[in-house]
Amino acid sequence: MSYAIETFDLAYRAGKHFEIRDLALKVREGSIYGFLGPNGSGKTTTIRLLLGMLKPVRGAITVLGRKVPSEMARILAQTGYVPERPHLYPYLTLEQAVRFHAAFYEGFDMAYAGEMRRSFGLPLDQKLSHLSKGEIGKLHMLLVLAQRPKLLVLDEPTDGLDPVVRRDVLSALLDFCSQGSATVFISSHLVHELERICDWVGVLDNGKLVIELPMQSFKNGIKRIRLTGAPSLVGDTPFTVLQRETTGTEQVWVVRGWQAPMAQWFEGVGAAVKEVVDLDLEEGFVELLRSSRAPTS
Amino acid sequence: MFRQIDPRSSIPLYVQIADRIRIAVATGEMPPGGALPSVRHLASQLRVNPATVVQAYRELEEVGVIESRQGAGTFVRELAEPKREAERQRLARRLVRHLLQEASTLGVTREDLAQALRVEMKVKLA
Amino acid sequence: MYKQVLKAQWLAARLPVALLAVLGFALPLLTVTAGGSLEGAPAEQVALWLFTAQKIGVLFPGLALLLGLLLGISAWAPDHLGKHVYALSLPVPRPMYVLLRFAAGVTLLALPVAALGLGAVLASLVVRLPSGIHAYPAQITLRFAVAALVCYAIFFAISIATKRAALAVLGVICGVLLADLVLTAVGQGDSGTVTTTMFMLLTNWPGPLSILMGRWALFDV
Repeated sequence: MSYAIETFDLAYRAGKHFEIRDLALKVREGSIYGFLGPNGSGKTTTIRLLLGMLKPVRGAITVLGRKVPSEMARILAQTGYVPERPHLYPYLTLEQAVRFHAAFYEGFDMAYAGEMRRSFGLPLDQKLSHLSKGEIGKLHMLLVLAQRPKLLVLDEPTDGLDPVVRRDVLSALLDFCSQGSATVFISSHLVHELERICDWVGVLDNGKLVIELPMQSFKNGIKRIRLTGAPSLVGDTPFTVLQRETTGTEQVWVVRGWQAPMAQWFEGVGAAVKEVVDLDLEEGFVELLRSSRAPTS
Repeated sequence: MFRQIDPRSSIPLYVQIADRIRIAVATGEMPPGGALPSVRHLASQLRVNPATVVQAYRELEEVGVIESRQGAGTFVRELAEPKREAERQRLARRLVRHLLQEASTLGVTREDLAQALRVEMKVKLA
Repeated sequence: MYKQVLKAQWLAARLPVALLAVLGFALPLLTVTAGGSLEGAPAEQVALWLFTAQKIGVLFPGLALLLGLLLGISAWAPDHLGKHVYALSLPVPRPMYVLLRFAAGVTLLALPVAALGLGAVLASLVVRLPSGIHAYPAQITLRFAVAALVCYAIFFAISIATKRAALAVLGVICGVLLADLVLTAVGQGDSGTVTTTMFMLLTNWPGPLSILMGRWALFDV
């Protein structure tokens, strides 16, 4: 198993408080890894650390098998980065911006860039400052995909874009992914978007990685269980309890790692399972965060 | 055909995709011998992970609905009519199963259901 | 890579560069015409003409300063706007990128310098100098080139720094330099009473800014 991105015990501090703590990311080569987290959890800071733009307080980072920051130029040559806020030179025209970018990347595919430009409907000779937000978003995706990179690091690439533009941008991204074995590291708070395209998910909250696992496990594993007669004290459970609530005669438990045969455990403690409800990614995400912030009593 | 892929549903995406294709094959919308969209095209069109499409195609291949030909792509298998009819019946039974499950959740009795069926089907046939 | 960086920098700075080229071309001609005609002029008038020409000559270092300033700022302005994120994401080691930007600016410097050189040569050809007065177009062009380069290097370095630091240093330098230039032009001597000791260090040889000081004479005895 080779990892496109690996961090060990990564920590970063700006000011008095730690922004990132004990971060141990493992992004498998060829996967589409969704980096989820509420605003302010440290997603952009993590990305900046991965790309050598910030210096960590401690810890090690390896990207594409090379050390950050000592081999940064070699890493960046094979990495496509779409930042949170647009950073291209606004006084250049689209054509000038593409040519400028292309000059820095050896394998830049001009033909592919032209293809995407046409299908995105982007005008060649308008200054970037005159383009709409959606057009700039498309341009950013066009530039990084035309690099034909091994790794794509996308920081909220569809944030603030209208649904039509979002679809176009994601389609282009997935089209590129299907052509080869690039790794994609995409951060977003748009959970439903990530749900479709990611096969791995890492959840960041308050600078700590709360969980990291395959998307399918995350989706299937979190359930809301309605039961009666649940015990108030809980010892070892075959699943992880995220949340417990009592409403009248019923209890509602939110658990992770649930599998159908585990209903027997409840029978064993004298409880009766009334209903098992699947939580979609967004709900599961919310429950996970709630439980990681306030431990269950 | 693929309009309503729902990532929020508890049914995995690859199962949803595979089901849609099975339905299309059963109804004849995708004719025997017809070509399926490439993984690349479908992943891009549906905006899903290419691995998901690969998984769906693999599943369909295993149950014998489609076949991949070296270098040419993926195609719908020539299924004899009895097999397609069996497929339609399988789908019909599944629909009924879902209906019964929902009815029980909502507290609708079998009698209510049977009555509703009679009314609705008469309307459709008329 | 260099070609694209040069192109990007030219697009950012073409207006000021063009303007300064025009001014650079015009300045020598101005020094020639300002003092009036030299045809058959008596010695005192020639002296006056020379004095006027050299007073205007103060504008040469001023122009070099301006050129260095504008090119130094425009080298980094686009990157500053984006907080350098774009440049830092490019697969070029930072020192190399800084070098590319610097080299592009130096290339652009050549334009106004060449224009000034052309103007100086033209001016020295056009004017009929009485015996004893010589023209030094090559020397003044060279001095201008070096002065512009020095100023460019200084403002380039300041420009990479944070905006606040850059503006602060800029303000101090400009104010002090301007004051001293004015005093020299008015003829109050060349030590400059408003300058601080540090400024004295900078502007007296081997200080880097010494090249701007003193008399800039296209025409001299």
